[in-house]
Amino acid sequence: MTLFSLSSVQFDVPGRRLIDGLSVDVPEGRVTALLGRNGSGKSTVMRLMSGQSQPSRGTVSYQGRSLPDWRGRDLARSLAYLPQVTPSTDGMYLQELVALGRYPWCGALGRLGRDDHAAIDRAIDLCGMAGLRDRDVSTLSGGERQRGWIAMMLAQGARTLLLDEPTSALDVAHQVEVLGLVQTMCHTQGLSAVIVMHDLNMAARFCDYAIALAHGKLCFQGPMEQLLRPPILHQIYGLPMQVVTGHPHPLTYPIA
Amino acid sequence: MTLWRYVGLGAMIWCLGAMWMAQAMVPIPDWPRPLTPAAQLSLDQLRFAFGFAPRLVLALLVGAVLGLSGALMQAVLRNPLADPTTLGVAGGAQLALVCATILMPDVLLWGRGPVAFAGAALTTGIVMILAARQGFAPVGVTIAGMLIGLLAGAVSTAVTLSQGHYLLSLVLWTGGSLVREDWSGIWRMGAVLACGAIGARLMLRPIAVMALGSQTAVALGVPVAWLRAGVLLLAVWLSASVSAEVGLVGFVGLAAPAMARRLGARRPGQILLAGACIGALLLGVIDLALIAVARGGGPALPSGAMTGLLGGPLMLLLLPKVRAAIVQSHSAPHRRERADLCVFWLICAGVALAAITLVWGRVPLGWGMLPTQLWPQIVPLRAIGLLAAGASGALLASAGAVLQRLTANPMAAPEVLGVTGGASLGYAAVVWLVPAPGPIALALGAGVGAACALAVLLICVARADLGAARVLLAGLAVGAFSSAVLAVMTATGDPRAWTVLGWLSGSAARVTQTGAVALCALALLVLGVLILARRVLEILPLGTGIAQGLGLRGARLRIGLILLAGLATGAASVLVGPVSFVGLMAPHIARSLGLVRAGSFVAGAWILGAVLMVLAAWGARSMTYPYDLPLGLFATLIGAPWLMIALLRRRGL
Amino acid sequence: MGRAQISRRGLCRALTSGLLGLMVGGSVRAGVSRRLVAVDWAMAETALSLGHAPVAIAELIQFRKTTACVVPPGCADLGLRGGPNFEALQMLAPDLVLSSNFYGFIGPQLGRIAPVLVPDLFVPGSAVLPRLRAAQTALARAVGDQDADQALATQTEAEFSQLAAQVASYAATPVCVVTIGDARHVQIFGADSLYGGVVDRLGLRNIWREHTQFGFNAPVPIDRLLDFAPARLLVVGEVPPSVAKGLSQNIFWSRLPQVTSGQVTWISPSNPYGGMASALRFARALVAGVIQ
Repeated sequence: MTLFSLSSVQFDVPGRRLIDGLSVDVPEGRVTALLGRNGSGKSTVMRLMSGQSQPSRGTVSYQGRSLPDWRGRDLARSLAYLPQVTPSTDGMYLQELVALGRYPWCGALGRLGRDDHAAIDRAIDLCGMAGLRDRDVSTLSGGERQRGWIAMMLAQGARTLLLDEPTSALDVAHQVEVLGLVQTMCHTQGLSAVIVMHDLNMAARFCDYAIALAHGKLCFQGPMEQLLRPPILHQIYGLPMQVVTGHPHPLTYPIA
Repeated sequence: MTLWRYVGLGAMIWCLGAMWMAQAMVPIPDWPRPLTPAAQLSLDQLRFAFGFAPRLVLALLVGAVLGLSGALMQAVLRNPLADPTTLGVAGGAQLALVCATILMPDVLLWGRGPVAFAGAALTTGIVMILAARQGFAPVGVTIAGMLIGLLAGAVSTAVTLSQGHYLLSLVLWTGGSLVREDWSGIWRMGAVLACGAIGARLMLRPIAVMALGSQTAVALGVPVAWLRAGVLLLAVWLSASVSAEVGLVGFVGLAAPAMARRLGARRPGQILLAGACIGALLLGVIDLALIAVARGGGPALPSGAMTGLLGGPLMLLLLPKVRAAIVQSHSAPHRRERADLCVFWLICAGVALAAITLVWGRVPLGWGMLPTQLWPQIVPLRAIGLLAAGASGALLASAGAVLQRLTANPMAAPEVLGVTGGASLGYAAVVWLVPAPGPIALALGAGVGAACALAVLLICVARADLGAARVLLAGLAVGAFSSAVLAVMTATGDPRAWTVLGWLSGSAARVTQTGAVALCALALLVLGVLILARRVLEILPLGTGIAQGLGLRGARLRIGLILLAGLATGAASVLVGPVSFVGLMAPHIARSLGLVRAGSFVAGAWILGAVLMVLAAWGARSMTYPYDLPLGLFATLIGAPWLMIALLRRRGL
Repeated sequence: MGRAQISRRGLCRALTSGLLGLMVGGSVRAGVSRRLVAVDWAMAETALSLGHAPVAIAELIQFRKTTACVVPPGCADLGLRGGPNFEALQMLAPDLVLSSNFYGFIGPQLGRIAPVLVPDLFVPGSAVLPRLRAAQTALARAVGDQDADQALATQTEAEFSQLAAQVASYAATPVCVVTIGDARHVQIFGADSLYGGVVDRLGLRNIWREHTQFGFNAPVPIDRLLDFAPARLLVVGEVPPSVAKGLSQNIFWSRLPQVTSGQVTWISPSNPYGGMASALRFARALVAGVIQ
């Protein structure tokens, strides 16, 4: 079953073509890594898939329906997006941030009902942040803050998570913590996730499926294991790479 | 190099205009030779050599000095909104000159330069102390500068009023005049520009490094504190020299560097040079036009006030591509645990204050209670004024709170965004065009004016996704334009200008009973709407990404909220005048009290705006009894020091 | 501070009588002496000249400095002209408020307290003295004292005619009436101003044919004066020291024939927004200056 289906998508900004005739299908129920060099168009694809930007040409459909046909709140109930740079929250407590995730369900005026509170509690518990509910978000550590935002996405009740480089500012331990959380969600709760990533080894460990871009075009698409081959990696990163068999995942590193 | 092509084009326009005007004045063969003694010149030649020619040169020099000064401030503070007026430099110079003129006229015999510089240095010093507490975060610096500028303006007005110079107080802020009758000022200004250029050249490389941020600069071995102090001192001196020589010239310092960047200047050296050139051409062309108007029989308009007339629209035109970004600081104020309790106490304090000011204050017999036998006569009168003042304060504060939330920008406020300017223009247009306008016509005029200003703002920034810096630049441009138009109206000396000026000063005493009740109803309505919309106000500042991700209809909500802010501002302005800066200050005071969540923030700002204006109405009535001070002035005198203390006590706004 | 105390005491006294008036009610109002307050300075002077001193005048501090009339010590200060203190006004319980077209925008608020007299005094392009005269009659009628109006008018006309006769031989030279704003700007008075009206009434020729700009800042650059070289230059008012210094360095000013030949006539300050009394005082000063 395909989650997202992009067909001959093109995206232009004045003077430049960022995405050039991209056609790709993203599978449901899996953790998909979106890979590629800087400027290859990863973040743009994320914005297109989340409906933040409209393609100049071509269509993006989600669950078989073209994105413009989705009503804003219906889409938000099903699809959650976390931008690369999370905004400052200005004195908000963690549970209040997570509660914002209920907006698609209760709107601007509706009261938070029992279901909403249950969803919030569950999201916080799933992210292992029960002890931090009353902490100011800006005082949390980087990993905790990122987990808080993911909790907000979970409270949204979305079945699909789009994460744009969620681990870029985190140390290894926190990276494992955040990505592990996403992986567990997908495997135990049946969610799907698309994650923009740079670290191939992390991608290999936590993702099932890979999509790689180069110069706004599709470069590779397939199960993660198939990606980890020197010729493909060379094609993606323009650099000779070596793959070493490791357990449980192979390791990759560039040959300098 | 398109940048220099544009500059060349501007220079050509200026040259052609100047030549045409010059030969219309004195035919080319009769042009006086340099250094001819004045006694040998004919009348027209005399005017040409000692009036026209020096004025042309002075306009260029002043424009260049201001452009350079603005570019230096913007470079070293990494803040596209820094300029002599927004940083309070011009306000300080003006305050010193006003005090000297009124209180110690003999001091001016030593020259205006030192006086202006002393005032400018004092205010800049205060701004920099406040800025240092903020770690020189651009937003904090700009807010501190605007506050100090406001305070300086309010004190200037209070000083003039306290000495009985009512008329003078109204025109303190009309612009400087470039009319000359000799070359002495030109030599002085030329020397200032030369020193400024040399100083800027010497500090160019460290300034370029500073563009990477102070931490990187320190890492590269730049003595950041010294450099900042040195560059600012130079920029302050430049702008104070202009204040001393010709008076207040607004907007050039802000607009010229912005235009330079828009037209393609990138490196700091380029921006400084192009900023100075564009500043010179901007003021030069405006001044030429004003000379032409005066020669054609029109009024002699002060050039300093007219910069917005050309600069405002030009800025708006260029805006979509102006590269301006504010580095947002991430320091958040501490949050109060029991916000509801705080709001409750604020309400109690507000009610108590209102009750006290109703019966206590300055009466003809001195300070004290109002004699009870006068209650039936006076208390209803005071109550109407009180209600109107409180409601308008609440409305302005709500508008400010909404705009700040909407643009995720702590500097947004109806006054800063030019909405009040638009309302003033609408009001003035009705006064001018409708014979004997009634209150409803005036209300409509001001409301439509405010809405138009907001519409212009929306159109200009629609493509830019309401980027904070760009919104503010657009607002400042609209504001500069409307104040220039108002200055033209005043300069015509038409009696109708009195009506507009009387309104501009702002007073709660003129409101009728129906007006006060309507204002209160509107204020309560706005509060209700905002409390209901608090969840939206919580999400919007998180950015379009998050907002859209949560299924928020960004565009429609934004337009709705902006219209609400415009309506609130317009309604408040019609009745009590374009009261200054309650809309900026009240939300900030609410934040400094720790009311940061949308609901308590909006409610707190609403109440604080009302309290501020109730206090202001009381002070305006009592302080200089029986002379009523302008409402906004007293609000500034109360609110600005409070905010300054809050800024000093705590890092982060 | 001393002056403020005086005015406060004055207001206090006026207030007491105001309260008295309120209590006694209609009986006082029916009498000849009505309680006047003046928002407009010209109307204040008119009332003073008619012998019906207002109980309160706006901007009294400056008014005392500039007026040609004697202000009774009990007179109270009403605050600003454009924004009078409505509370003080209410407490004074006046029978009639004297305003003018300049303050038309506060008309409704004044009207809620008492009847308002709003004559058109300074209208661009229209002579002032006839308007002042008409306003005087209107005021006299309002206070029921037409005799005072008649007497005052006759006396004023007589003095004007006498002064006009004194300068009749100087009528050939046009005059130019200015006040110095700063070292670079002056205000020039045309026929629609008080000073210009006096010049016309004295039979002199005003060389400035344009309207008067009632700006607050002097609007005319000094070099315009060079166009009026043959005219007699009449400078009204005092010049602050720093402006005098700037003026002496101003090349256009020093080039003026009137300045080089030392023929500038300096006239003691008067009140350009005053009434007939100020007009007469200005006329006397003008005649004295011209004859000298």
